[in-house]
Amino acid sequence: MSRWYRWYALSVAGACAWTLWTGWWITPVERLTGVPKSVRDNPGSYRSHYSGYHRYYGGK
Amino acid sequence: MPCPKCKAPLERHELSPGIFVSHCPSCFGVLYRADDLVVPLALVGPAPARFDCPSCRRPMETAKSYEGQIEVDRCAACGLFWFDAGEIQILRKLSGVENLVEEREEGAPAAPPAAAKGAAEKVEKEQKAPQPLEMSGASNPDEHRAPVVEFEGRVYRHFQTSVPVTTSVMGEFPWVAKIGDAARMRDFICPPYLISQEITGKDATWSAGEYLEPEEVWTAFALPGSPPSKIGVAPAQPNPWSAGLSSVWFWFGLAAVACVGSFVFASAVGSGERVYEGGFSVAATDAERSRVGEIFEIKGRTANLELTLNTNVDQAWAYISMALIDADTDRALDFGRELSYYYGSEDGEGWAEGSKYETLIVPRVPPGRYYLRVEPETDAAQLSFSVTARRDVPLKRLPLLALALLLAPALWASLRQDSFESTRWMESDHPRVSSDGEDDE
Repeated sequence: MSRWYRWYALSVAGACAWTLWTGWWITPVERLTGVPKSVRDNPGSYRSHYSGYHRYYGGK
Repeated sequence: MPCPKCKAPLERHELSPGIFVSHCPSCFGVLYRADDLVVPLALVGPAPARFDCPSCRRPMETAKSYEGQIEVDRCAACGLFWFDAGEIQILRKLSGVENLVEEREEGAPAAPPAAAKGAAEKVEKEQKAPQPLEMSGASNPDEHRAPVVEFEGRVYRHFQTSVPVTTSVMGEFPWVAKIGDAARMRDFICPPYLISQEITGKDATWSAGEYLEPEEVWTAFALPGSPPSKIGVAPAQPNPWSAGLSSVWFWFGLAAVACVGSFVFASAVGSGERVYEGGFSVAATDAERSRVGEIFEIKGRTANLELTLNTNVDQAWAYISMALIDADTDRALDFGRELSYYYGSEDGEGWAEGSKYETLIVPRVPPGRYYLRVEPETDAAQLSFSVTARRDVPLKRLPLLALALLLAPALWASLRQDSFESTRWMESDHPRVSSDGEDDE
């Protein structure tokens, strides 16, 4: 147990430090390339991966 | 000392304070000091020596007593008598004396017989142990005071005091064993070691033992098959969960400090700088709802970007698709977030759900010039919202998550260890959970 835990603890501490330093997080983000230059002048020329979202109308 | 007859190591017992007898666990012979014997022994016709004295190695005399009905071996130089197995019982019968040795009061001076140095030290330590209890009444004073015994550098905790009764006797003993004999037994443990004290009258006999795994016993006696599986926890059984537990908590502490230290360091070097703040407004009647913000610059190393959305959703929902677009390349980071805020009252009680505000983390954003493209969907007639961006923000939840991940297995190991100990002590005079029914009331 102790030998296993030693490596486990070091891994967790290492992962924590790496995550803090690199800014990694679990937020789902699409990294895209090939975005047209014209988006700035014509925002409609690009459609988000997440657009077209239709939700259930909430509330009680 | 070796047995003069079979050369097996002799075991010493204290019959009464200061009076010792050595007996052979192999051939069951007994060695007495002549000075301790109170029974008359008129020796006749020394015969050729059968054995050498276990103390001085010189030949012992063999003589007869009680008209030749018993033969004893004596070392006149050391003052020792050797009785073969069964001869003690014959001597008792012939002499009519039940106790062959003098009964001394506790504290009476008595020179120890010739013995190995280690054995003498052992006796000294035994004499420092708690004194024998009286065999009066059924009360158990140990139950409340939980005494300890120190022996050979180990501290033994009291486990149980009981009064076993002899129900049958087989074999030969260097003492008179009778059915109905009772003794007070006190067991002390320091796993895997156990010490037992047997008290009968004024006699107290200590014995030491060590727990062996069933496999060791099976192998030692070359028994066929495999040993039966263990049931419960033996008093001196080593706790398998104790091994390395302190090491586990040491590494937990070390890793926890490393995690907190990483966070402190990241907070110290992280800028948390606000790099963008902008507002957007979309109406339900707008044909095109996508908007772009001003270009802003992210400097330094690759780090996270914290976006804070502040909307005016009210009894409405909104889903905001966002793209963080690099103004100088064709790269983009695409993500989205939903917000909703509803409230009302039901049966006289107010309720609310959702929020107008939201914070999200965009991970690993390289340095560069960026602008934000937003495209909201909403059921509100008019949606206004602001976006604030800060870069390189250390997340408090990260070290907290790491601590939880570190704590879980360490806690589990400790609980297993504790559970094992609870099972062990359940059968003792000192159970961890009261068994007097108080919990049930």
